Amino acid sequence: MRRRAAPRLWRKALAIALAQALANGAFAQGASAEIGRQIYLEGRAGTEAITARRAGGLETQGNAAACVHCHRRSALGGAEGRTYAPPIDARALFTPKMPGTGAAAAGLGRDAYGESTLQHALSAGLDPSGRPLDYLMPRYALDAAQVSSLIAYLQSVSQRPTPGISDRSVHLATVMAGDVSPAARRIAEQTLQACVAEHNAGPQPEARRKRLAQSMGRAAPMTWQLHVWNLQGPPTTWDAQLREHARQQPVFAMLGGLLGAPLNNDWSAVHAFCEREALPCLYPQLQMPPTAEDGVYSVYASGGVRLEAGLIAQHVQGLASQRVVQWLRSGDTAARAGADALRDALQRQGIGVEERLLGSAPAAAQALQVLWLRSGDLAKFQAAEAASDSRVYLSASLLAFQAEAVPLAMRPRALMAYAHELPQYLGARRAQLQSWLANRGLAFEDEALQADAYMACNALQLAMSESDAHLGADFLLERLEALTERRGFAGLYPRLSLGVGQRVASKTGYLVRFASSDAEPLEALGDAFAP
Amino acid sequence: MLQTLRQSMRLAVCAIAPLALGTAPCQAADEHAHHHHHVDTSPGYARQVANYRIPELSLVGSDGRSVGFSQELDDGRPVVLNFIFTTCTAVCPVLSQSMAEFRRKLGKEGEKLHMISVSIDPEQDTPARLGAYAARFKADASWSFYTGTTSSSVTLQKAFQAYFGDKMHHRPMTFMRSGPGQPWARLEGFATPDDLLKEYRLLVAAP
Repeated sequence: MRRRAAPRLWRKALAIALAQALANGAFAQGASAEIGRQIYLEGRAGTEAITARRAGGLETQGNAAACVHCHRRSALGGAEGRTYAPPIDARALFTPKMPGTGAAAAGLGRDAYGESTLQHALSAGLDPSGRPLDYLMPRYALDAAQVSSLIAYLQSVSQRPTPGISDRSVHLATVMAGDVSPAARRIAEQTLQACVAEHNAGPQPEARRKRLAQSMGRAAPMTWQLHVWNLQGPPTTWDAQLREHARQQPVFAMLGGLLGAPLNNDWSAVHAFCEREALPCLYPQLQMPPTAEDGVYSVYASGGVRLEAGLIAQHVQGLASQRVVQWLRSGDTAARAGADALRDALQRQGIGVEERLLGSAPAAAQALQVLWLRSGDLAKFQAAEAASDSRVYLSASLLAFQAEAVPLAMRPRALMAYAHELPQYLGARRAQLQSWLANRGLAFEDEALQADAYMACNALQLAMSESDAHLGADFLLERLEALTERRGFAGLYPRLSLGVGQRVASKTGYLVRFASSDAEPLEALGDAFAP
Repeated sequence: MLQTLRQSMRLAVCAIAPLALGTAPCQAADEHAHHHHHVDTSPGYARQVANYRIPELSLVGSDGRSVGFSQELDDGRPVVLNFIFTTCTAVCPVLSQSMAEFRRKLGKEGEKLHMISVSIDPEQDTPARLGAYAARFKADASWSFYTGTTSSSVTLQKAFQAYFGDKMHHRPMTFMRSGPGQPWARLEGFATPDDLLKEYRLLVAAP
């Protein structure tokens, strides 16, 4: 009664103060941000699945009803086609929206949300100014305590500090793990630094002209600073080293990265660090990314040997002769991962697979042989099997995409799984990379290293073109998910695309044979395909 | 005070209206509501009738089988078709759920129908992932899901004038026709299960 009798101005002031308190996270007593997190990300409150109704009479519940699907992990919303989900972090919700702002630019604006108006919006689908919410927004059956918990979570999302931002700089790192050769280290680092310098220089052709009219100038962008994080010793010690690097200089994202020890392809310590620290780690150069299915913050260029295994499996399935023998060197972890993936794929099709370590007795003549071998071993294998003409499958990534590494005598019977774009189709991109390097005074030295490093840095440039460091890691990745397919630099890969939760950008490859033509030594059996 | 009065009246109207009816009754009570919409996301859809020439192309079913798509389309049954992708989180789940509910409402009659969902992210949407997506919406034998190569998916989207550059720019649409050689009803926007049923009845008489 007293509230209703209160003068309008006083009520308005109270509402504003309350909204500010909510936006700043000073509220939500007894609310559990953990329950809010469960509602937002998983569509449950404890063991209870949340339920909701959509327009059109559809019911939805549990994970399908979770807020994250439309409003995203960042809570900053997103777009699909012309369908927009507005930002709903605490800062956005509890601040009035002026007319003509927000996701729909023609919007009428709205008052700031408060706890009760939010509950009303969730259950009845009306915003604080009484306007109906979007068609896609479900009506939720949440009780007051659950709404408080959701608010507590949305406050924590708004307040998540973004590491690696200082005054006017965004700090970045690249990891050189293990025994990376000095040449590879120098080439990758120079390429990344050139790209960072390109960002810091800003849009050059415009810079001078803009000096003529101050009003045309934009606020100075944040400069980027790249730090090199060297990891030494066994991989078991890398996590501690990463934490120490991050303590000395927190970073906003990790770009590229190289792994030294060729046989021990274990990036999992870095992967785990990126996930734990919610640190975007873009396109490290690996023959075998850790299985990325459950990762959020690590984005890989390609499935590497696992993709090759899929390409080979698809081909073997179409053949009459289906006895498969896989060869690998003991201790080669990338080869191991490829062989395991192929064995699993073939066994699902009822095709048996034998496995031999290098140096064992030769396989029966009719068997299809899959050689998960690197160049030196491949030559020795061919020497020992000189008379054989049975089909062999090769892994291009283990051969560092060097077709020359395949012995001449082996070529007629070889098919190579090849997850890069074919050299004959790379002309335009190669020219683009060459001219970019030349404009920065860098030699075109190692195409794979330079293309991968540039691709990683380009991905950051692309995502940041629609984001800002203070909007955080989740929003950065959401921009990358949205932009990569249309605008990402694909480097040496056939095609890149990402999507919600997709963490491997290049999903296709070829099976190639060795043609007699010198102009196009690799000949694809068909279009690039995704196994 | 006037504001408050209006608001409570509006709430009263909304409170009586069953939730399942969505926002329509509340809109009726809100004098500002007609300003608040943008085309694709407001309730409702636009209908057109069109003929599309579908080029020969092959797609891969969720069972992994490669098929000629024209044969799938022209198998004699009425067709309801849409484009989806399995990692689409905002639009596709609603489209697919609407298809599923429409199919449920058709009951036994729906067994004579061919519902078709084609992935616009075929590299990601392997047959296995499509199968899992189909299971999420309890798709039965009358509902087939297809993937394939990027180029065949894009060709098909273009044939239906439903290609917008990449999957992130897709728009909600449903296509229907009563049988081979018949024109398509093109429904742009979010058609509810009841909308789909109504449109279907315009093409195919109740048994």
